[in-house]
Amino acid sequence: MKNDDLYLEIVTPEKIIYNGPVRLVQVPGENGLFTLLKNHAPIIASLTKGEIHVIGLNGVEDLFKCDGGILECQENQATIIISG
Amino acid sequence: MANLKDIRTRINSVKTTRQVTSAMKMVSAAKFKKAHDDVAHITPFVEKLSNIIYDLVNSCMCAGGEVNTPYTKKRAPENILIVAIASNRGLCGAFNSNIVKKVETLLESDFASQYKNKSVDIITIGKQPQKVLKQRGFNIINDYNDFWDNPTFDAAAELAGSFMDAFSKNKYDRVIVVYNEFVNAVSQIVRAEQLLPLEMPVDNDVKHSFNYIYEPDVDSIINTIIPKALKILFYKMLLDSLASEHGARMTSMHKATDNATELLGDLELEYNKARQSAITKEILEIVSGAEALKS
Repeated sequence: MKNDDLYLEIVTPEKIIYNGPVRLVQVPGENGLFTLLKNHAPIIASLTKGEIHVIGLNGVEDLFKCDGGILECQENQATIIISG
Repeated sequence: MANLKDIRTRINSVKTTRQVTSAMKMVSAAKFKKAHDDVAHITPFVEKLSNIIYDLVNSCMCAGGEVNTPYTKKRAPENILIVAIASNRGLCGAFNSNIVKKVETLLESDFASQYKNKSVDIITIGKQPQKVLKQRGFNIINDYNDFWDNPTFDAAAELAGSFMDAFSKNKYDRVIVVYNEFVNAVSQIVRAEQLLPLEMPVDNDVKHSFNYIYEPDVDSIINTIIPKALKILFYKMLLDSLASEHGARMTSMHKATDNATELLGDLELEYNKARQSAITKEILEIVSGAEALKS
């Protein structure tokens, strides 16, 4: 299944805080900030304290606080798990 | 037939009991709602986490690598730790006794030889199973009954951390958690799950393996994700058990209230019958007295 847009899901132990297609997402990786766009190569990264910056497909920007977590992205499906 | 006063006393006592059970039902229903929400919230999180672990482990295996952490090492099961999760309070049907039964079956079947060698330790979370298991002479080394006073993730993580510590120091070769899995308000499944060593979801015919970029590198990702996953899995088990407990209590109290209502109906019928026969008897006495006077 190949999506045309990058789909992002952000999950915390309490709930799913973001779910939808995005233009870009910027996350705080262990080695510094990096950005995912669509058709990104498969990646698994661990995240540190920082902010997740999301620009939705409709241009709406969102900021989420992140205390650390894991990011996985494959076939335009990105999943971020935030945990303390 | 019992006399009127006896029946009246019984009716009153059944009424009081019904009041108590229906109040407990209400309380459980309110608590159940919260516990159920917690379970519903953590479930997608656990699912996503397992998916990521699945992808991670399998693509790592495909690349010829190995997953090596202190928490996944398989050893011959000599020393066993069983964690029994149930409740501090009773009056919730078979909720607690199911856990006790499951622990006993485990000791009689899977871990019979270890049990004979006295190398099975039990930790309880909940006063009820602790009481029963102690009575039957099992080796309970510790309890964390206070956990239910304030069931937070941090407390659960600390507990899970202590198990992980004991496992990585070779004190135990297996850690089994016995708990009630939450299905819905009326049904729970008793489960005995192996917490440590963590079973790797290895799939021999993986349909899609990705050549992942790892950031910063595989080992450090695995070493952060596995301990986190263990803690979250353990927390989920506790939440499941809590929701099951309230669900079980809600249903059993509901049944008790229904039974009390039914009993009350029967008693009232009996009371009316007794009253009627007493009245009949009195009239008979009066009439026969009057007859005697006449003649």
